[in-house]
Amino acid sequence: MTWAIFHEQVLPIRHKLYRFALRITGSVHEAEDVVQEVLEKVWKSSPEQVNNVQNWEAWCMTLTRNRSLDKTRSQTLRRTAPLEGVTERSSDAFNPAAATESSDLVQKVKSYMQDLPDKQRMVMHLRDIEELSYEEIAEALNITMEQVKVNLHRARKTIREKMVELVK
Amino acid sequence: MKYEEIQTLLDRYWEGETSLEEERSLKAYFNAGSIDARLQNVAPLFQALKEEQLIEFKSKAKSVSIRPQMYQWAVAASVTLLLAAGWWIMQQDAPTVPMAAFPAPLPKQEMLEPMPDQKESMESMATIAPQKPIVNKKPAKKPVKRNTPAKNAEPDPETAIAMAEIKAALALVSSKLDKGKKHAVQKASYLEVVEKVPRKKEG
Repeated sequence: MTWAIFHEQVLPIRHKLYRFALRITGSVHEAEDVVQEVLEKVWKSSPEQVNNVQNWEAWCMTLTRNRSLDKTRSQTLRRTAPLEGVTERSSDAFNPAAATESSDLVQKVKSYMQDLPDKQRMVMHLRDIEELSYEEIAEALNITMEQVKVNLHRARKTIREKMVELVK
Repeated sequence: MKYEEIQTLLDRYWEGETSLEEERSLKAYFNAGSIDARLQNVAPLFQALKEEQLIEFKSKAKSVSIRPQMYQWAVAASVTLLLAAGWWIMQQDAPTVPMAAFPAPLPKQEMLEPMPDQKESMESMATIAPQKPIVNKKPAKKPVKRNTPAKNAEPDPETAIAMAEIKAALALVSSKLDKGKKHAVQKASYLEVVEKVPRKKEG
């Protein structure tokens, strides 16, 4: 890995990686750790790996997804034994309301997005927040284009239904 | 954009048929302010998406290390300042002036009074500020008397080094700690006054 590639291709997308990690882990601290680890891993990647990368953003997103899922799984394993049945979130849980002064409705929509099944949540995040193409999402999540479209459609449908209920 | 256009885009958005460009238009419309009343119920979604786009990564390494580093500098600078100032005062007064003749330190309130040009850089303060205590403030005249016995002495190179250290320490303090800047500037100007008095007499 050269400094030029790292500086031009990887560093500028660190915010995207962080938001994606935050979406998956739901924890500010975990997401920060994930991004640090991913950046470190990319920096230490071998010349062969560097040569094989076609799309840096998609590759980094894949690394971020994998690392975030690992963290989430290990966190779940750690917590299920002693804290079975406890549903409250950890103290460092991502709390959008604390960061912004948006309306209650906006906060509700954010929580609906966070409650989506993993794959739908990731697809909707990469499309509607990070504005990736279907091809890039398919590459980042290692799924087919058809799966991307299906998951995006389902995610938006769920959000729409919940918003209709909210207004009633 | 007209209501009909947005509604058409929305219908396509729910079906997953919009392009990235069209989706950006929807976000722009719902975050611009003037939203058609019939579309208000959808606005929170696009406002939420926009807000989420603004979240940024702040490196842990930076956020953890900056503050302790700042305090280390501040502590180091303060200790250097105190030691150098103490040593310098001893050098100036000890050989010639009996203890009883030591002037009372400047009254506290005088020292804490904000200088009119305190926001200026250290360099400009060092040259401009010292004039004021001499001319305008009575207590500053005391050091004049105190230093007269040493007026014919050659400038001591060690004193010059000490002064340079004091200046460097003060510059560090003022650059690292905004809170300490006001006091540091005042101390610097006081020390400058004390130093310049013999030179003036010589001139």
